[in-house]
Amino acid sequence: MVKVILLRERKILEVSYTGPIKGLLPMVDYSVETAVVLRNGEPVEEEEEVGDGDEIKIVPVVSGG
Amino acid sequence: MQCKCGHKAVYFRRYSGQHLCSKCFSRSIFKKFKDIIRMNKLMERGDRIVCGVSGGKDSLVLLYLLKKLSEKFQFELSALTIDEGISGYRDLSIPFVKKACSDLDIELHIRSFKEEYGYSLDEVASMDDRLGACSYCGVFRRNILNKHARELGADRLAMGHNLDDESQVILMNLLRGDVSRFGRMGTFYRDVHHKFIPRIKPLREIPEKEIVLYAIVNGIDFDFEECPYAPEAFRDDIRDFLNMMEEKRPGTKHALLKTYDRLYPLLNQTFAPESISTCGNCGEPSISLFCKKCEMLEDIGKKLGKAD
Repeated sequence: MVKVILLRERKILEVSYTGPIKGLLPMVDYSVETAVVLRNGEPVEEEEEVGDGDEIKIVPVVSGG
Repeated sequence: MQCKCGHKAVYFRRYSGQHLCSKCFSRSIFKKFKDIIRMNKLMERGDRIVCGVSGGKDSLVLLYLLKKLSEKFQFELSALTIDEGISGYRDLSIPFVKKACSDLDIELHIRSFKEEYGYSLDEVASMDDRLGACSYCGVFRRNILNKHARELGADRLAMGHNLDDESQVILMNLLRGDVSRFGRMGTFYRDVHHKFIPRIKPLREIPEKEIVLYAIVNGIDFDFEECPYAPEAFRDDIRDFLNMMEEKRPGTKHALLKTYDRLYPLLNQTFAPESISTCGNCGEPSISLFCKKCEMLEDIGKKLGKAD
């Protein structure tokens, strides 16, 4: 299971997923254009893989207004 | 993937094909920021720059970059924050501004709609007017920023608009058929009025996503809430469309801005107002006899009663 922390939504999800981050994003309603992703606290390229035990933090690109 | 320097890449810049580590990424942003200023002659040595700061990522990254630049290229820097009076939003973002200004040793000035006009934006929004809160806020914010930047002796008012903001507005104006606004959106729009402080937008070629990443890798704390009044259906559609295009065809947003910039001299010549007069009521720059802000305040006064 991948632990996905959605900062804007203030939600933590457990997602069953193994593969590149860019494939995980649409599952939580984000895309490479709308999210900056931290894996285990570090920013990573969306081509990087995630899997069991990883923690993914989604920082929304759009904010303010 | 690895950055060309050999370190682990944290970002793939799809529109240029570069894989960048956090250090090379930060360096590239600072270079881009300096290039935008230099190529467009946005400021001069010794200028007094007032930076509009909301506490969101764009303005805090801008403040950070300006401070870094001021250490090499001598100019005066201060911050101006407008408290519109949006409870649950602005009251939460202002502490981020205060912390950044104290960390960076920058003088901060805070002005509010309530003290300036007598009404907070929440009060104005409670009228449930057809114009909507964003229309009032935009006019009031521009007015108050310009007025107080001038009182602070500013040569330039620096704003944190990024590539996404700019490309969205270009497309919105195009699709609305609002050609007259096209003449007023360049890198450095100098209004023809002595009370108008020229606004500069040194982040306008930097994608919003890169601003967020820059804030994260440089430890700049920002408020990532969205303004409760911000959801605007038209802009959301344009944003979604541009993001979809950028994903399919990286470089779309840059191309749109570049096209606009190349057309700008012609647009400015044809569509910018030839002269701007002075509001008969408040004395601020205005296109008509009374400025939009004064017209709006009169309208609000009728609906909500005179301010205290």
